[in-house]
Amino acid sequence: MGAKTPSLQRRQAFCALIEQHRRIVLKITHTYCRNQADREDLGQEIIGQLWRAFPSYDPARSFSTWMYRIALNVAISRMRYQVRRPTVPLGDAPHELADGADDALEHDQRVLALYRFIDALDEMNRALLLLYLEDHSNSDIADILGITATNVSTKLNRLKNRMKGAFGDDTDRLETSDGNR
Amino acid sequence: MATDDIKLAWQELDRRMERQEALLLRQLRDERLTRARHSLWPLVFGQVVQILVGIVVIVLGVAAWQPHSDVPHVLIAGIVVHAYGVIVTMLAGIMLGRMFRIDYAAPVVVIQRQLASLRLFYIRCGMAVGLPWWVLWVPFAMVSFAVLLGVDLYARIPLAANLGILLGFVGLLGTWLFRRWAHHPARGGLGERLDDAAAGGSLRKARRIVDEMKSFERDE
Repeated sequence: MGAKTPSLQRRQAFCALIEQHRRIVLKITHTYCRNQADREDLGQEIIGQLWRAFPSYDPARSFSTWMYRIALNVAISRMRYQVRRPTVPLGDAPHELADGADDALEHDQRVLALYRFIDALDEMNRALLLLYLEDHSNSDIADILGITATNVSTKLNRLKNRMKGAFGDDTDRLETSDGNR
Repeated sequence: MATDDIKLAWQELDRRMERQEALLLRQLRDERLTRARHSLWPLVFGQVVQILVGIVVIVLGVAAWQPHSDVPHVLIAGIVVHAYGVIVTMLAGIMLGRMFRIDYAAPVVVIQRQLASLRLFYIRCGMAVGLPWWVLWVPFAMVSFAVLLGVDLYARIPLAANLGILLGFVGLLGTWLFRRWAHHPARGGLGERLDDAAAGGSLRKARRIVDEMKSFERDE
């Protein structure tokens, strides 16, 4: 067996990194698409863009930050500029959400409510919410989105107020748990 | 529903992603995945076509004015068509350059602002390329007849050609005046509706996104 070519090595390194961080792609597709086919298309487009940008990736920098930036840019652009498949209103499609036998109705309702909340947000606030729910620090979020940490903090407070408005009470517990950010 | 539940629901999504996860991993091992279509390809394709059209127009213009430099009206028509071809080619080149400079690994706000201003530029270029045809059809017809058929159209029907140019300028001026009138605040958004009709709503959408990005950035 001969030595691996640089392009094969690059591809293998890329695939290994993507496998390791694949949840980023999946979470982003679930944040921006309600339709399974759209999610698959978006996932494919994100991977394609990551691959094209991979030669310019600087290994000294965080791979996940690089990946979040590209994946969010692709998802937001797709939302804004491309025609998407028509979506079924969420209230009419509970069965799509319950794809496992272990999914209790209560869980479906919870996910359904989350989807409704996400769907009411604009593209940039969806990105903010996703990064917040993935427990990124304010400075990480600022780095990915390209705004100041102060701005992130202000926007997150507004987002939490919207959550309060949408779901009722009890953001206090959430804010307490955010104290260490 | 407590807001803590949002985080729980978010974690529950992990369990729902298994199907897509398996597909993604399968696709990752598939050679075709890394060749996924770039979302800007339709725009790139459009600009390449515009450059080709621009080159054809330049060739047509040069082919008219060079051998007929002693016939003033053909010379002028040729130069006008030549200049139009250069502008069309240049605008498409600038657009392509801006598209290829977009680095998706830059912060989200930076790229989204660049993309929105690119769309705005694209729509305005479309208008800049389309509006001159109010007048341009006359020199274009003169040049086409001279180059392709060897006929001096202006010499044969000078009145019709002059009238066409005059009406073209009146139409261009009228379009500009009407646009100004329609965009006056007192017209209740008539101008925006006209822009929507002309650009399929994309101009307003691009402007809205540019404004949104500015507000997202500075909103502290």
